[in-house]
Amino acid sequence: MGNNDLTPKDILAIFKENGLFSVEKTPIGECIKMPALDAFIFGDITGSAYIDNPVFPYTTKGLLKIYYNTMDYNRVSGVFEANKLCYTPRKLSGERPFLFDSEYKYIIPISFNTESELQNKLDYIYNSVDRPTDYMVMRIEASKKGGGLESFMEYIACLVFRNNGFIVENQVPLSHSTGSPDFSAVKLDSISSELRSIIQTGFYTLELSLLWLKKAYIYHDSLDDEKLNGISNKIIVGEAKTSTTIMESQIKKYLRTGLFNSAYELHPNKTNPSNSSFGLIHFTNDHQIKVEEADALANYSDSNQKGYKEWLKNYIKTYLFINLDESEIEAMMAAKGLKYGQNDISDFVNNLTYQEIIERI
Amino acid sequence: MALSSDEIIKREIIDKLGYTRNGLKIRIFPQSSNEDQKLFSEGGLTFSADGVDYGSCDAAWYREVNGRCIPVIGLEGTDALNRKSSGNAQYQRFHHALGAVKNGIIGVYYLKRGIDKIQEDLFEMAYSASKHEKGTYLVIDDLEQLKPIIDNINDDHALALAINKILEDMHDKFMRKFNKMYHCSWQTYAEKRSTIIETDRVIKYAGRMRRNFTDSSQRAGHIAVGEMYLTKYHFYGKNVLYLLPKMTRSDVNFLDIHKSQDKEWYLLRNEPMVEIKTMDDLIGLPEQTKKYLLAIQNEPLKGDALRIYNECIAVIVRGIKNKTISIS
Repeated sequence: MGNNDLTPKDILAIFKENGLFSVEKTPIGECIKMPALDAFIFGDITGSAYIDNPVFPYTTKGLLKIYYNTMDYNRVSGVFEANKLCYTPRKLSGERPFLFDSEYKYIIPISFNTESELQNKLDYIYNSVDRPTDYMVMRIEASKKGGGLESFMEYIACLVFRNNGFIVENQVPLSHSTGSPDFSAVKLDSISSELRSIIQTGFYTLELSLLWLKKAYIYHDSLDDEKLNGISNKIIVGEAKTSTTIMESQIKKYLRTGLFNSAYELHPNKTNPSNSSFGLIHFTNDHQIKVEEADALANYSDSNQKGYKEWLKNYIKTYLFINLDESEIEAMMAAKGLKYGQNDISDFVNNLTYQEIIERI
Repeated sequence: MALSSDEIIKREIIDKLGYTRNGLKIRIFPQSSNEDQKLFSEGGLTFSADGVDYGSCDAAWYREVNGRCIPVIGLEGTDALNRKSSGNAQYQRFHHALGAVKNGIIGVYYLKRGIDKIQEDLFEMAYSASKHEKGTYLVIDDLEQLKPIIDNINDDHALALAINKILEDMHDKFMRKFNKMYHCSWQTYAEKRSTIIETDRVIKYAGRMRRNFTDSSQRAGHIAVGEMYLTKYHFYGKNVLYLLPKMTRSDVNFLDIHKSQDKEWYLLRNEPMVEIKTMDDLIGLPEQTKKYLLAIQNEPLKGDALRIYNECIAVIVRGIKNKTISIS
């Protein structure tokens, strides 16, 4: 792999060599075969898109967000719009049944130099297979240094920490002035204890909103890291780059908030972190995922973290809440003398207990 | 986080209008792509006119004729009405579809219906552009309004009817506001909107400073472009002097060198019939006033700085009106 940008072959090899998901031959070439639920998460993080049309294939990336900033309940257009559910996985699957209507999806990484080149390939796929929506295109923009694959690094980081019991997310709300970290991983007893009855492993925040599917998750042991697994009550942040190896100043910006216990750089082939207090996730020459631990912990602030933990508890609870459909929510709110669509939906969710929501799912 | 607005708008375009309709194809890219920055003729979504490249569109409809893509509609979309963009921030994307209009095709600025309303000025800016430029500029808040446009694209008469219906509605909305707020008087409008109207020119003044254009976290630079187009199209045919009295010629030179690739600065400096003027261009400006302006040159307009600016601008406006101050 060396210092070159990741190619489709590299992507396939990463999945194969780390025992993540199988790589299979299909009528349109080698693809990563993923259960539909995992493919949904993969697509949401990386922007990989279901080929529902050959011009602008469908992705949920950017749609399923809730808040602008941390420790604030100002909502973006996404999961909610004006106090009502808008884009939730459950609603989306009603509008686009292809999201979960087959057991597996096939991810095809495609490298291209121009959009018209990609367009030709999508045309070919769309017209060659019986069910084009079973296929998802993972864009590798060869004209960009790094291939535009930061989100793939975010996915890998999420996968590593998820499989070690963390709650993970990419493109994390923080603040306008600080920016949005590419990745965070949280392990908090205060949240795990609330969810123990329904989930005992790590998960993507978005994954929590898929419980209504009532399917078992695929749990991968292959990335079990003894050191990571042993961590508890920690909040971790990460920054992904593929076009450059420089990310120290951005990470320091996040760490200055005092919210995070440690930080990781995410880069395909950087072998040493910029700073001994950062960890690093990268790939070896034979496509193995490698996690380098930090030598020291970041300086975090107990008081800053206290508020952040409280907000996180509500934030994650919201992803649980959106398993419900509108009639259920209407009934829940009416029972408390509130009106769905009128009373502030975040206030309502924040005042619910986890148990109250879990009982309804 | 910024992906949300772009993805929402583009997805809505495909969902409501399809990827092909009435023989027209759509060109639309994900937010991660940079190809929208290329000219339409080179596979992108940017239109150029009179040597000026305008902001890129989010989508364009085209016909394929003998292997060539002929653009027909260029659209810029925003979710601003759901994002607390109730004021002049709405104007800042006006120039994106303007390039299409100047090329003689239909430009559309789509502000997805939301909590806030579309500022009536925006309708009139586009109406004026439709009257004076080669193409047509439509401002809409519902993509359904585009269906009769696309569906009648091959029928000149039906298309003209569909377009005129939208244009007249736009103009009516503005006139209702204009009558109510400004009593049908452009002079009253000018007095309330930091504008001086003269026979062959109009002077728009604003308290922008250099940092508004150098600091990407500040939106004032983008808003300045919107205000420039507001002035140009409300007073089409007059030369527009965009007077920024807190800035110096040296500031402008600095920005010309350091922001040469910045789209907003480029448009401010290259839009036909628009000139930027600074305190250094005010002949007859009292020395004391200039000293005060220099003292607040880099201060945001609040507190004492705002008070001083207001006093200085009163001197300048009075001077321009009574001809004791002229602009070089």
